[in-house]
Amino acid sequence: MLFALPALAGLLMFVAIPFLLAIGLAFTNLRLGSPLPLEFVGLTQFLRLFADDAFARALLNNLLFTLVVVPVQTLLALALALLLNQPLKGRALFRTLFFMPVVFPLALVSVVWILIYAPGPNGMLNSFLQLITLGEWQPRDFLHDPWLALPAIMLTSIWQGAGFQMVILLAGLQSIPEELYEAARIDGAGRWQRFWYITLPQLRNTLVFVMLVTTILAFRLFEQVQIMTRGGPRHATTTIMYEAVQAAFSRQQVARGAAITVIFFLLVLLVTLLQRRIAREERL
Amino acid sequence: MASVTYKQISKRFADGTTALADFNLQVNDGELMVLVGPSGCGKSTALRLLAGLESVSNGELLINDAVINDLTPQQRNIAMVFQNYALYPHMSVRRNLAFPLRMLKLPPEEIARRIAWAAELLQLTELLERMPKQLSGGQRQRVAMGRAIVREPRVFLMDEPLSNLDAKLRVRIRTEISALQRHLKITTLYVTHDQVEAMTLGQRVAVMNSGRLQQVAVPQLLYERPANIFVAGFIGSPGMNVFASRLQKQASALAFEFAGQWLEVPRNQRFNPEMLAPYVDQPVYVGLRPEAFEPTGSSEAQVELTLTAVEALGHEQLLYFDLSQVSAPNMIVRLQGSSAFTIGDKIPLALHTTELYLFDKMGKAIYTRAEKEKR
Repeated sequence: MLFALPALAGLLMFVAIPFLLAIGLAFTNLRLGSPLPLEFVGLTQFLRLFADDAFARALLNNLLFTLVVVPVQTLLALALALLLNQPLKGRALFRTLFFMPVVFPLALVSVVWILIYAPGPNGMLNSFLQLITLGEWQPRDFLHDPWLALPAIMLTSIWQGAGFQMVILLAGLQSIPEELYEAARIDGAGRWQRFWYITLPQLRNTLVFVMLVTTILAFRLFEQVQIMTRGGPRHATTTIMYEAVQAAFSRQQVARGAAITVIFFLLVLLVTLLQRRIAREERL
Repeated sequence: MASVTYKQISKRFADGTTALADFNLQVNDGELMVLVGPSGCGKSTALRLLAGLESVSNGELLINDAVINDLTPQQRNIAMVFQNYALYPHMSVRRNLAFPLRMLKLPPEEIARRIAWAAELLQLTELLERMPKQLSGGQRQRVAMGRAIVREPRVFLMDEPLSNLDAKLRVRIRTEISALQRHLKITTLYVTHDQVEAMTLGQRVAVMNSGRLQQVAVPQLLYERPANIFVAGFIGSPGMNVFASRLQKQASALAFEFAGQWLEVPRNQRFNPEMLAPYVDQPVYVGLRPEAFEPTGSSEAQVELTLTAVEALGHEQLLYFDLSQVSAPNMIVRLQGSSAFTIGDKIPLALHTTELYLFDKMGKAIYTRAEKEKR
């Protein structure tokens, strides 16, 4: 008990107290540098948020981002993991290559992709698209196009995140006993049937875990937006986290920022509970 | 209904190890053939080649005289019971049993009928809705058997199916497997490292060592007429005692050296002086089963040896003698009953030289021609 004290103190100071403080502050009017006295304002912050177009757009963007990125990235990672689980030549090299984007700091990745998305015919992606369409492609300014900015960020995120999922799925694949595949082969199962009846059910909990983590990360989307688009154009790429940081640190609206994080917390909680419900049934 | 033939099969793995060399074996239709040998002798490889899980390096594998080397496991219609059962953990017992039938795309009524039949036969009816995790070891074993028989396969393969069970259950399921196989009359190859299992279960037994077949025979013949030193030492519990020795011509008969004495080679259906003539004054090996000794001197062939250890098994005792001065490290003697012996004492032992075995310097057993033909 005594030896747990330092850890407990740390937990209290850096996790529990800020967490409770954020919940408490969400019901006040706190704004740094404001002459108004600190007051309890009830649900006012939340009501204001739900009336705010930018916040509504942020919720929608997060939802869109999650709905696209989680399935696409998981499928891509599963395909990569299945490929790299085969006895291929240079397997270790490919595993390293696909995992590398995970190691790069997101800020660096974002800067690199700004270069890729650069406007005009000399931008990397634009000139590539022009090349493969034989000049048909009209150069776009991806990050300033209201329709293309969010998909551009999605693409960057998938490229960056798939390697991490791949490694976890690969570990899951390798923990499936070889004997099950042998038994299935003898029982007459072909390649596709072995995938469907052995690999997928055996990988189920790993897949649920991977999708949960990706979903939470998707809700936390911030760095790419901050660096690549600053939420623009016209809120086309704003997110919950971006709104929270903007409110708390750019506009000093601490109470509003706290209220946004409370909503964020509830969303993540909901996703986690949902995941546990799905995973529990067949825990073996 | 199928016979299985291994025709000069060899198997080399990618890392260069040879698991099987020039392996020839014929398994008759409806027969239960046991492959037995120490670990790494190639017995499991022989099974996996037949299942199609490994590819043959050389030679031909035949089922009913048709070469199956290039068929996939799916095309061979062979069922296998794995050592760890390899039940599908995410499927109930019913779905485990149904799996091979669904792969065959049988109609649902036929699947249900066959599952009911197998479950009845193996007393699994009550367990059909359980998951493998909820079953005991013996029950899992039966499910694995069930999954193999529902398909009505041509050949049934079992890879050490009892080694994960406790001793009592092993004996019970052993007899169940034997009864089931006789009932279904499916050609069966059964792999084990346990010679007791091999002797009790096999209609014929193939003894293997370091990738080579040593002898194929009915169990009793393996015990009575081992083909070489390996089989003699492997079959029997404990196996035969084998010592380096010499043959010498003496006044009345041939004699062999044992523990510093010259003892007479008996004249019986196994030996006669004419056939042993080429081995006179040559190094040979003599073999004596632990059962070939008696504690008191009723026979004239008698030796006195120092006792190094005793194992009492209740109905019998195993006595260990150190024969290091005569080149064999240990000799084991099996005696009925439970007389009291003191370790370190010199024990007078009578030898039944009629139960003597002789092996040439390559380790091959020496028998008269008539005996060889019997084998």
